[in-house]
Amino acid sequence: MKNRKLFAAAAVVLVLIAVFAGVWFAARPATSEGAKTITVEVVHRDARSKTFTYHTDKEYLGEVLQAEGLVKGEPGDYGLYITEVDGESAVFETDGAYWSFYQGGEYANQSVDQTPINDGDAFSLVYTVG
Amino acid sequence: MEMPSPWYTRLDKRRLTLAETVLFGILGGMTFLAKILMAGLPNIEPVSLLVMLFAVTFGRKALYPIYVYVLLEFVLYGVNLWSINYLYIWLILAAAARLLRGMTHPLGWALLSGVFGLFFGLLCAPLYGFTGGWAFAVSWWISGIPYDLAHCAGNFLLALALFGPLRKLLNRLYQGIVRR
Repeated sequence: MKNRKLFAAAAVVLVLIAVFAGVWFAARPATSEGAKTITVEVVHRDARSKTFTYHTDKEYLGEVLQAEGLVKGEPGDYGLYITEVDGESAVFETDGAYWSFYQGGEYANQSVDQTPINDGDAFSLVYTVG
Repeated sequence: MEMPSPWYTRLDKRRLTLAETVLFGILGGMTFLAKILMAGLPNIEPVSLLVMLFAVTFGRKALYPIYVYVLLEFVLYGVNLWSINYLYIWLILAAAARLLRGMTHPLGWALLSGVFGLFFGLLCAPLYGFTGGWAFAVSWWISGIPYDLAHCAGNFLLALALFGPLRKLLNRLYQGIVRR
């Protein structure tokens, strides 16, 4: 009896996993293949701004930024946690500083390694405190 | 017929002894340390397992080691928006574990821990609904689903392997302290 309940619970969990995966699959942003040109604006701590232009056939932004050496980071709970951009580190533990990430001027709700790129996309990485 | 104990003895049972205070402080610190040590393993964290163990072993007193851990998180990483999630999210798991404390099969605990990992993003999302709007919260949750799936798998395997033996160990340790 107990085992039957456990197996029923396990089946429910498997169904939940399938539902969650289905929701993600249906709603995930599309990637595009082929050559693309994107820009990444970096706003440093002293408000100095630099814009980088990349030509790439990669599908996700994180791959481009890491391959070009623009960002460094570590795996976080929800994707790459950026610790350094264009040679400048943001240490949250010291003063609450972090690199915030914008896509098309809007605050992005996913990490750079989860962000698909399309030709002409514009991104920003902004040194932010607090 | 057993008489219900008067309110003052119930209160007294909730008061911490010196040994309990030390134990809960150490366990809260160990939880934090274990999380840091396992930070390199993608989406494998020991906190869910330990919160379940505290809840089944210490009952309401599990709140002490859990919030020692949360306090250490706040001290090291600062108080931010996500900190609000940490104030309630572990309570949900602790309450579920306490309700299911009679469960003995390791698969049951692995399933509970796995489901908690699966729902982690969804349980955090309401906060972002209040701050960034519900569309942002839903979109934030969906974009994190692959990580919640990995969290589910990590929690499941860790609890399946360790919940049983650690429960016995912690229970023995706590009984030894209470009896002294």
